[in-house]
Amino acid sequence: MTESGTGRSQRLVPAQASTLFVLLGLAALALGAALLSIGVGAIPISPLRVIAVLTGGADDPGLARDALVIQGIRLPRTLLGLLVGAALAVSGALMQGLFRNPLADPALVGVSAGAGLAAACVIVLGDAALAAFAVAGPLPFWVLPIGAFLGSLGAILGLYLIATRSGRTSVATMLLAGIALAAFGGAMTGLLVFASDDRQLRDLTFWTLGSLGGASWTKLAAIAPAILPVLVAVPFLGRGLNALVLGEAEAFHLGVPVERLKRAIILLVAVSVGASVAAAGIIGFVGLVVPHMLRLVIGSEHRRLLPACAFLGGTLLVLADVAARLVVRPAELPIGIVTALIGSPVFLWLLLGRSRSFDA
Amino acid sequence: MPEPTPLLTASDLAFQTGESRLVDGVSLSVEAGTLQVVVGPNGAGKSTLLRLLSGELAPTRGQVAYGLEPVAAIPAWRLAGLRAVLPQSARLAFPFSVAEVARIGLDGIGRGLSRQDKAAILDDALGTADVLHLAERPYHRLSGGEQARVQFARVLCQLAAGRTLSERQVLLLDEPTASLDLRHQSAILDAVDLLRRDGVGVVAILHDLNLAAAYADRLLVLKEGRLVAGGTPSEILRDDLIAEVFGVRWPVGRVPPGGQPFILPRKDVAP
Amino acid sequence: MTRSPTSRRAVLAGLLASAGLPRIAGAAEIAPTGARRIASLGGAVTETLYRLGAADRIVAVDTTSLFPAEAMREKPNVGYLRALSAEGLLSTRPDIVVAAEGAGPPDVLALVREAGVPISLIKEPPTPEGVLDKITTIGRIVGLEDQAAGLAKEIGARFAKLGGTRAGIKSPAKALVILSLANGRIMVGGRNSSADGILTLAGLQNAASEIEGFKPMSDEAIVAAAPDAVVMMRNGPEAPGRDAVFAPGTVLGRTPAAQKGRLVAMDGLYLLGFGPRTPDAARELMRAVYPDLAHD
Repeated sequence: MTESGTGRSQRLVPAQASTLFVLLGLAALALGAALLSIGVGAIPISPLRVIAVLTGGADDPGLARDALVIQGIRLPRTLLGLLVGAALAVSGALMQGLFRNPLADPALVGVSAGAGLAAACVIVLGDAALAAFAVAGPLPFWVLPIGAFLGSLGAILGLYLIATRSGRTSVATMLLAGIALAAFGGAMTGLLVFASDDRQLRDLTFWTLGSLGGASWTKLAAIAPAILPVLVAVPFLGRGLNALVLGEAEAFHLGVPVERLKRAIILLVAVSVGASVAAAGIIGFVGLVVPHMLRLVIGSEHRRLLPACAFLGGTLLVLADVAARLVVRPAELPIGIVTALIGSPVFLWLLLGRSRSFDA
Repeated sequence: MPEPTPLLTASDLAFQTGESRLVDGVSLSVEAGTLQVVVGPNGAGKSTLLRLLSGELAPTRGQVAYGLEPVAAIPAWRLAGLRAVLPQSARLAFPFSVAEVARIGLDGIGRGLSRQDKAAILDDALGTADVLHLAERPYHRLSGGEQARVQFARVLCQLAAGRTLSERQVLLLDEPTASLDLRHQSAILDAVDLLRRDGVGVVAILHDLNLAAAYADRLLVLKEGRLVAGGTPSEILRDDLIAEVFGVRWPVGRVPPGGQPFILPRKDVAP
Repeated sequence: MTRSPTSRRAVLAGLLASAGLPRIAGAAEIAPTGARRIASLGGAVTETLYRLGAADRIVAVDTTSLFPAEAMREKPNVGYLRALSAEGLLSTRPDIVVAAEGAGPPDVLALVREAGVPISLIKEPPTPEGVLDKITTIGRIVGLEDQAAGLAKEIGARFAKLGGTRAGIKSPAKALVILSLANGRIMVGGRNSSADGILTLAGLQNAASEIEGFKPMSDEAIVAAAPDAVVMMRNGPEAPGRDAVFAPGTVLGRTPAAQKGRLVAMDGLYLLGFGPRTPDAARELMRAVYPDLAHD
């Protein structure tokens, strides 16, 4: 056997140092995006005043109006963006790791289809249902998010049940059934769209494109308990997913409780993505592309990838929201348009750059 | 002196899917410091047997026990310290570097190890498998043989980390030399032999009967799911058995005469 | 930059609201005295405010505020009525938001209210009474009661005159209001819609009275309804062409309307907005379908 290494045990130390460096860098990026998001908006507030408000100057009557905008609108909106972006990106990476498929994302396992169908039901059939039960007035505003949450949760748990036989979940079955379910949900939504009136159609379109508008502390408090678990679980899932990269059998050989890991990931993703969709509508692209962008740059090792996804997902969504708020102010673009507009060229650029430098 | 409990005992194992019996009534035991090689034609059930031994598959009949514990009763994390498995080939779902792949063997099992210990184990394993110079390269761009060596390094990591939990370890190898050149075939089997001398009980599937004869304490011949013969290479490698099990008329010789048996491929001339 | 005199009070209200205290938010909140800056959301609302002479006080409009044309040209546009942005709306520093009742989304309206800006939602029933009520309500909200009373009187008189002409119709014709014609999906105005309202005012029967609100109507149902006239939206300068709409072989080509060549194309907001121009729109529609009717 040839001995080809000298000074060998130093090799790992730089790798770990660079992980820390990467994560700190991404955290700084997220913080920067958050500050930008708090600092800019349709209402011009000078950075000095922003700092004054953030450092507790809210009691100063001269700052009261700015404080209201920053604390009542921008701060909850920024936090919602960070949370939802992080949850979507981490969920995407988890789904890809679990399904061992780089194209997997929450949408592929029926989450968006389920949420979309539920939302279409609420928007199109809601008024008729109210009339049927002789209830006066418009539908309470919380019916739509709750419906979307239940729709996505129902879709992914239904798939899980379909794909589970005698305690073992076949991820291949789940993936294929997810595609079937997404197509079915799309068709049902299409049916509702066909029967919808003009106003409902517009409502549905805007909802489908997503928005962080309407973020409030109440909303944040309502969805945080559903979104946070997946982020808290991140440090504990990396090892198992690394082993899963080798295959399910290999992961079992390495001591990973594979079925329990699958169940945990599916449940965490279902709840967090369901809550994200409920709070911000369907925001595509983040879950699929953020993990891939990071894989191209920092590799696929999940203990590094998952936290990095949380930071970059939050950063990307908050920046997209800043753009959505500023481009057509005082109106606002749906955020789903912006994430796709910013993200897809960047992703393509990374992909092309990579294939030039590595591929034969 | 009482007989020590074997590391692994399989009694009357059978595995059936649908109508086909892949493994049928196999019993064996793995003692510390032995290397047993399973040989047999394609479809004899060798890989299925290995999966049963690893606890990955539950047998339809019979039982596998590590020490005195039935394998089904041992939680996955503890089992990972008692045995390691080298698969035939593993394709990764995502691009990992060589060092990252090997390190997967260390994580979780080696939780009690310090960072320095882990680094040392990893470097040793990469060195033994002769892939240290590839450590930072992406795994999926390596040749099949290089990938096999990385997987072997990963298994070495798992055994070294598992050693901190238990001295009684079993290594299951599914065709470890399949895509390797001669130098690396010899190197890998030498490394396995070292592990055996350290007390690891090894069960390997090999197609090359000459390699099997050189390294095995014992050969197990599997045909149509049944164990048809078992013994030292000298006892097993006989002209009639080769003809019966493998369906070829290749002569068995010995070097030096009376020593290690070998089998000589010969053109089967049509009459 | 001028700071609105009410901002202190607004802030206080906002802080109370964000502290979780309940806050009464009625459908017709009255602007604090001296409310100068109005965010006007909704086509008919903006139209009415312009007619009341409040144009100078409008600081923001929405994408449905299409008339008069200078509204969209001169005022900041805060986006689609049903997809507003809280900070965008607040950045125009309104003292009050006067909006058609469909404005939203609800959580954005809640944020704006929390920031201390009252929102008045204006009901939009498609009837003459609805139009007059809209005018007086808006007038009261922005403190232009006298002007509103005058305008309501004038519009009321036109409705009355329209009613007189309508009484002369011997046999009412059936008309179909088509909101959009895309991909074979013919979206029509059914009963309880603004389309139904304007047809009633113009002395026409709604050929789509089987349908509730704005919904797609199937080809067979359209043939069965046999409308004598088709009313379509004119978006921009291009009016839909008679030959294209009534092309032989198409569904609409098989209706009595096609034989009589009765296609009426009118501006969407003018026709369906139920604002101050509604009596004129109804009369124009009536004249197009009943050319022989005696119009003083």
